[in-house]
Amino acid sequence: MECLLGLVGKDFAITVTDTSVIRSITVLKHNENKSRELNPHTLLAFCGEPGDTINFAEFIQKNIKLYGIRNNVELSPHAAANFTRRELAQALRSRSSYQTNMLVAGYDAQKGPSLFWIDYLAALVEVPFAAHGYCAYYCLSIMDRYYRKDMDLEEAKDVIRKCIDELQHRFIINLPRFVIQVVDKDGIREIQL
Amino acid sequence: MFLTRSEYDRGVNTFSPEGRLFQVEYALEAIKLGSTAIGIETTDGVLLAVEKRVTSGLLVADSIEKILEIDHHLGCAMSGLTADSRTMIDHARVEAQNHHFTYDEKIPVESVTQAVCDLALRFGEGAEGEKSIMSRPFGVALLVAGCDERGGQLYLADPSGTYTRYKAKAIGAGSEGAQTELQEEYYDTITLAEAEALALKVLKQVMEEKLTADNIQVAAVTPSLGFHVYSQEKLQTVVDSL
Amino acid sequence: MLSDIVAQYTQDSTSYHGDLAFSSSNAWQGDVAKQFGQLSFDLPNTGNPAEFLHQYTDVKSDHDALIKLAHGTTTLAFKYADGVVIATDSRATQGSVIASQSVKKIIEINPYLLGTMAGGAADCAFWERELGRRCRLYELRNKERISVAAASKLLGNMVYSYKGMGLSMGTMVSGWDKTGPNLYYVDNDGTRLKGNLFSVGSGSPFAYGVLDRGYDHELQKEDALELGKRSIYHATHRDAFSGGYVRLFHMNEDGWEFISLTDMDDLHWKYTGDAAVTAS
Repeated sequence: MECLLGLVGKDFAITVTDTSVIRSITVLKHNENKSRELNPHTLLAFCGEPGDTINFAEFIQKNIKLYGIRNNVELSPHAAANFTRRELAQALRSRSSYQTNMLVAGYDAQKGPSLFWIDYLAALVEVPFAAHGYCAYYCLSIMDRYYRKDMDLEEAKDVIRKCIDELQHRFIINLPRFVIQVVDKDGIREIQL
Repeated sequence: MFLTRSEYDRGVNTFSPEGRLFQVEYALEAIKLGSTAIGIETTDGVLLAVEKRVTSGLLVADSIEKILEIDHHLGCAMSGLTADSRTMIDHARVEAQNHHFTYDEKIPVESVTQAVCDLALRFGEGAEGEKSIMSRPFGVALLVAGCDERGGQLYLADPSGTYTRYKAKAIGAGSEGAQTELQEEYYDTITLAEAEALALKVLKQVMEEKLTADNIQVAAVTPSLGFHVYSQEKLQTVVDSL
Repeated sequence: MLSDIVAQYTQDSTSYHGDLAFSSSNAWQGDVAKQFGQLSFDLPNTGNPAEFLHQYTDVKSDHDALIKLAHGTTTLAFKYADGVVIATDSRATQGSVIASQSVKKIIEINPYLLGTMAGGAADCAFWERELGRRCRLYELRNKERISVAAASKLLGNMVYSYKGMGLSMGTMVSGWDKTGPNLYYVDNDGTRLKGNLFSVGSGSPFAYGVLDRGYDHELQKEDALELGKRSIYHATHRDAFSGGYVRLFHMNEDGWEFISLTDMDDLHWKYTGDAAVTAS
């Protein structure tokens, strides 16, 4: 029931996560951040089984930070996404697998912005835009229709606004708040629509 | 004698023909190089006092810690290779908490001493089923002080894994002189305040430097306050009253 | 080659150390002290202990399983300007039977940390006791009290390592540390949330109703305590699996304080008396 979206613009990647933590019929928390900063130019947004998500995300975050400290060079978004996929795939065949869906958004000084879609079965695809969970049903078609290559930030915000409006209009779950984060050459920052 | 020594003091697990384990005996010698530590059982608690060797004016005296807390009702003073005590004291702390977890009561002083001693002989190659943790015996002796249902107690745990209860005990470089002094001065009805004076008097005699509030550390375990290290101010008043 | 693969997927199932991903279980073997600190359970000797246990554990009290857990609860805690209010009922049920009316669902982890009990009573009691043990060791080793954030993370990680094996625990860890009053929700699937207001248990929706309407961060201590008490009362009034007494605690700067233990019957007549007065 969680919402996780992302798209790539001209010189930035953007992620959208809802902020609700729902247990059974109760909303336990209204302001949870469902993403972790992997390094200054890579962001991991996640949804899925409670417990698994944060545990896995922080495991990845700590290891990628450690890589940066040890080698004095940060992993590229591409490398970070593949590392994440590899760890998830390895865990999948063990007794303790992680049921976690993720988006890795990043900005590489040479290759520009990128977005990677990873599901809990450890499939990884680089995509221009992506969504996880039920909201994918509403939002993928919107992005199919309105997404263009090389959009600027305002145009991207416009598409995201359309997605959120539609979710709040049709989706049975009330998702009042979203965290929207942009990754570009200056790093990661939260923006308002 | 010299010959047999040199042949049998290499392996930590080999007895000499006379039935001695030289490495353990050498470890006991290491204690005698350490700074002096004194423990005294009194009618209202147990007192621990140690000298700190402040070898330089640049050394921050507070950073030398030779008396540590094991639990609310337990403390210990050490002498010898103090780095070795880290493992032992952490083990004692874990044992104390495990006991509290399982039985919902304070661990008896004897049990925690026993637990520390269990570590002492786990050197050399590990025995079946238990991992060895050290390649040599510990080079430190602990004076374990505590209060439980049986009242205040003072134990000495040494590198041979032996523990003994004492009414008053001194270990470390000045232990011989200090122990003789304690033997003469100790009486069964000694109070904590009197023990403070006695411990400091004894320390003063055996210490090379002049005794001040900066180069000693004193702590007590009492039934009401539990373990507590004396503050600088309190220490100063005790020193002044000598 | 094949034996390698077999070895990779076979583990000695009798002792499971709940490996945490970041530090594999081998990592602490160099540190002797940690070995003594590690707590591990014997598990059923089957290929998948988690599945095996799940089969026989009655997690939701809706089927007749061999391992029955005491259930049904209303617990709440909320943070406000002057501290944290923690309130619980005192009823334990096993199926349709009231097993006890005098359960202590607020667990005193140490003088400045409290946990609440919802779900399996034994699991909560055990793990919060284990948490108390670890917090005390933390304190001895670091000469500093553990923060509520760290303590709750410790608890979260402990239960996460037994995920899927039938642990049942929904708890709120509250305390006062350098950063002020703190409140965390931790449950058996490993969720750990920081927040201002939580309620856990079968009566929680009822408690939320009253609590959310009356909650204000700037509440006076007296009013905050009354709100906690009243929320529990209303929850027990509607939830058959909650009842008994309202147990009320308050978290102050210098640690927790026991406030009151009130018979629900007395509260009922007091509150319905109020209603009768306002109605007339």
